Amino acid sequence: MSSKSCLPLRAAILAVAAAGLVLAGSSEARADCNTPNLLWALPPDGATDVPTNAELHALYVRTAEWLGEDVLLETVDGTAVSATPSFDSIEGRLTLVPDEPLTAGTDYVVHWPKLRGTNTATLGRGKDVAFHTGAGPDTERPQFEGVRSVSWDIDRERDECSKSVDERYAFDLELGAASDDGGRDSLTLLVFMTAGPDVAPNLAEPLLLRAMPPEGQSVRVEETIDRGLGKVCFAAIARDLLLTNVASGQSVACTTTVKPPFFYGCAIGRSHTDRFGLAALLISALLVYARRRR
Amino acid sequence: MLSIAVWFRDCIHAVFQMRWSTGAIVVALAVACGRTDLGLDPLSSSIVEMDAAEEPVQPKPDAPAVPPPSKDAGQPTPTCVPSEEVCNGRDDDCNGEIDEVSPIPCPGGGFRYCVAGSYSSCPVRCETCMPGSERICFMSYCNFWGVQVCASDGASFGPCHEDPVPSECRAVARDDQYSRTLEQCCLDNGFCCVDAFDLDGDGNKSEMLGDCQNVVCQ
Repeated sequence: MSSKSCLPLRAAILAVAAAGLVLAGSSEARADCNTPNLLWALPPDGATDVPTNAELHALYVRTAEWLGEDVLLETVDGTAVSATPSFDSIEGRLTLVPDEPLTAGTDYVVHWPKLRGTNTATLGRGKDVAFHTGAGPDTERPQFEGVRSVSWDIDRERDECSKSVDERYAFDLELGAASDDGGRDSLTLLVFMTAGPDVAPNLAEPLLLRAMPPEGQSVRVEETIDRGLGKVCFAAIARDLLLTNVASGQSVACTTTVKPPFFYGCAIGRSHTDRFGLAALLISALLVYARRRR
Repeated sequence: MLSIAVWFRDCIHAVFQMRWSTGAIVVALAVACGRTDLGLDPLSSSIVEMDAAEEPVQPKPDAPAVPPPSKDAGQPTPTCVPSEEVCNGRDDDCNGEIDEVSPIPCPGGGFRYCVAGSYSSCPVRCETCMPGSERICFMSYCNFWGVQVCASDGASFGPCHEDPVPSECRAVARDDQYSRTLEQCCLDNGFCCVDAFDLDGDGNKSEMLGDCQNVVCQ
């Protein structure tokens, strides 16, 4: 067989191989879409001074389903601790409530299970979390200054599930100080939209539930263009391990968005960065200069 | 360094000596700070400030002024008459804290919280669709059969991608193509289908019909 007659065959083999790689990649990517992983454990791994009346929580992806998988709590020496699990499918929260108060000054380990999820065959990730109890129970509500400010931008990312490039408003919220007698690291942050195109008056909508981020770190919430266009306002609260202890969200931060596409102007003299605007000005000045020199 | 300084001097000199139209463009770029909607009249005054983070506002514009938490927490202010604390943006019990009320459990899960002086709505699992779920959509060409996948944030469906027609509806797709019959075949065979032909007659062609238990938000 001559080399020329092999070319179409080689090309066909390469095309089939490439198609197979693409299909394999896409099916694998679809399988990874929304894997029901454990996102945050409260108290987190390595926490100290955990209150003796603490309820233990694990926040999973919201498509996670708890089918009665075992949730084990034990001391470091392997002694099992009796506790009652429950699952809130709306929050994606698996909760373990010890039947008796925890012993002060003791090391514990909780084994959060791998869960199944809706619309995926992939088993999610669980986690083993170790923590040390403090001297006594949690008796105080958390303190939280809420949302200090908000800035926004447009996010265009290829979605891992739909494989399409989706436009979303990305709101970055700067948070105030937070504290709790049960430990700041064990707080849950809940973010709400208090005003927006689809928000009824005086009926804030929950947007985000996650572990409180480290101090000084902002959080991002995303909204579709329809739901985030115009004047939007945000507030946040902090919740401790007892779920009913919350710091009420009085501080509200607002901003006004513009429908894309939009033009970034130059931000001379502003404290916020606007490298695109400054670059446009410099390029314009260079073009004028070059034209004059010619 | 001297050559750079000379270059900057010439550059600035050129800017000030250029024609007024070119200068206007540069000045416009300089002052058009923020994001301007391209759909707006360029002479409109509705240019929006970037990073328009406003000062934190009072929770309810029509609510009476809320005194800031006193440093002497727990000590009632002279003008405060203690009453039962409720979610209203005020320190009703005069303990220096505002709206320290318990959340209200929701029937399906989650809680309603006191936020900005009023209770929030109950949380939902998703906004539009269950992340990663799929529904059948219909196209007016090629296979006439497609699939839409819900985005990972549950806020929208992706575009309709062509997909092989299942064997149960292959004959219908071949004979009737893009039609009510094809949608009916989709429903009859247990799929979750876009009501592109408004089979239920409610005027809504963007809703889903059929076995959509794992697709709709619960």
